[in-house]
Amino acid sequence: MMVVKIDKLDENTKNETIVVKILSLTEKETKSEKGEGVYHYGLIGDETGTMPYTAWALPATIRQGDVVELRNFSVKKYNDSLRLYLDTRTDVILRPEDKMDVKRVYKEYKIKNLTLKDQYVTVSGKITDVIEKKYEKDGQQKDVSYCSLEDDTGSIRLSLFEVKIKPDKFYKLEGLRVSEFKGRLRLSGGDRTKILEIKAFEIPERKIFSIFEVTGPVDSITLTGFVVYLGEKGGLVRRCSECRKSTDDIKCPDHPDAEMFLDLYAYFTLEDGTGDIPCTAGRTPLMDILNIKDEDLNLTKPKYSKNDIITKIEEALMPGPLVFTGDASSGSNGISFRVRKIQKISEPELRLYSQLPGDEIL
Amino acid sequence: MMARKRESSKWVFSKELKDTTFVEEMPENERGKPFVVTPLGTRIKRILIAGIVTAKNSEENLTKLTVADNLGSFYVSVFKNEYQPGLKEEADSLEINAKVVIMGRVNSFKTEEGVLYLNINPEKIMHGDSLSLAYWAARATFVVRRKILAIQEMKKLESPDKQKITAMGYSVEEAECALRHIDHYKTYNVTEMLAAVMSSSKMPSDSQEESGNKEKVMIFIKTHSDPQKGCRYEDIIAYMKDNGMEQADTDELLNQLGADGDIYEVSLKRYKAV
Repeated sequence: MMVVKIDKLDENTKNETIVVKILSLTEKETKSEKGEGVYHYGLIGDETGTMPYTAWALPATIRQGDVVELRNFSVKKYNDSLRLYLDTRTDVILRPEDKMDVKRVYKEYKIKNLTLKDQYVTVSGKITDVIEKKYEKDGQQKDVSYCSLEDDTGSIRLSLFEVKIKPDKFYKLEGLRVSEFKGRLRLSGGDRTKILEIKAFEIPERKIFSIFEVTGPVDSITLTGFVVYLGEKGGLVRRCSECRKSTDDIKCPDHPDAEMFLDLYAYFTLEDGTGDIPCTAGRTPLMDILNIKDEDLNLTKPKYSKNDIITKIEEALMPGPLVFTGDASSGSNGISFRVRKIQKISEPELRLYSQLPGDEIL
Repeated sequence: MMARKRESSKWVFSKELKDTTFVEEMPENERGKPFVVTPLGTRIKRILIAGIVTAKNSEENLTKLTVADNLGSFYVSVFKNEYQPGLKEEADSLEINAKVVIMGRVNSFKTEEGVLYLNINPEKIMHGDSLSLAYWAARATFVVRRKILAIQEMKKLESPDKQKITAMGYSVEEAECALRHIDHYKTYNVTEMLAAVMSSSKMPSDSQEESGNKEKVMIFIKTHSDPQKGCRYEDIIAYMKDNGMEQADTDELLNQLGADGDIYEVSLKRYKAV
């Protein structure tokens, strides 16, 4: 049997057989007018390299880490890289006795371009907000560092196991794994991750995006625009200190002994001419823009009524263009934006918003 | 049933809407207003505009507004209706020269002679300021420039290809706009549109000389303006020529004053100070 290797695959590959290791396996549900279904995607590898795949059909017994023989597959270009496709005509034969050492090849990404479709990556950036903790595995104490990794396009949470890293330094990290938690992407690395300290590069204070560019989860980006719709259920809400759910009742139905507190919340739709995005803003950004202090939100003696707060939110958000900094996350209804800071647009920065890359000042 | 995604509004200059000649046919089972397709291929049902109210006509059940941006005028009709009872009052409360941001549906009407009229039925009327207008114009400029670049790239291809355009970094919508432009407005002069937009979006310079010239033009318009018809373009050009300024530079200055919201065009080549 002639077996082809990953580094020899191209768009003309036909009627070949390949033996690969399933490096990652993610299931995705689909819903359309034709009905519901599932497909799988991830990364396969062999001794010559790795490649992303999509399996429209896959035997239920296949697991991550299995070595399999594939026949009747196809290879096509998707998002500028080759991808292997398995469908109902593909034979997937499990080879339980086989072991395989995979040659890892990691594509380098900017943070804004990370997706679950390529789960092993190389990213360069600045490390900030490092928190070091210990955890126990197999009876042994191990180290983990939680931090943020930031480049000129966004930031992302990063967990590094058994690896020491210094805050405010720039690193190139090869072999990080991309995963998703609550609609936001995160990276993780361990002792196999290659870490190289690099020269610092410029990271702008604001990473300004047009809404059409926000196609996936990314942290610490800045959007601008007009608020064109303001949700009616936002404003001043009573919240349970235990579960943080909002309620109109005096006590939380699930935690009647827990204290209640007053909180601020707004949800709205933002437009910038290139599209729209649903946004939410909580206590901190709203207190800043509404000029409200903690003591004004005293549960027993609040300074403002619900209607006062609604009016203040409308006046602050609706009339003019604003700058919103926060995190984009993905959910069942698509991408949404959690606002962490709201600022007014200043006149000198206006010219930025009509500029294209390569423009000098208009 | 799948939830229908909200139709986001398009930010287009009045010129793009004014030059529109194509309206999509409504599918048989659908209700509502059809999409209009502009010369840059923008497929519009909902629009967001910003400008200065230059005319208002209030009747019992209808208020008509004319709202001027840097390149011309939008025509807005606000009907009294039970779903948005405050909207007509909001329109009635606007004074001439008020700065507004309006989001609404585009309504089309074709005469028997085939002339297309487009007006806007607002869903939301917001009082604006100079900053709102300048921001809207900046973003509308950004959108127009990208669309025109996508059209130019599409025209370079042997045959139109959406994938090739998106692979260059344009959005799917921009690539589709380029396709629609080729389908419906192949002979439309996008370079002329770009020149008009770029000229109107020039940001003011802080130089003393320019400030002085602006001041001169403003004073001249204020003191030589017919209360109804405004000030004649030719008179402004002649006055500024006497002050050592070429016609092209005065044109530039008028565009900047329009973009800043300091003046507006009452009718063709007639200006009034705000």
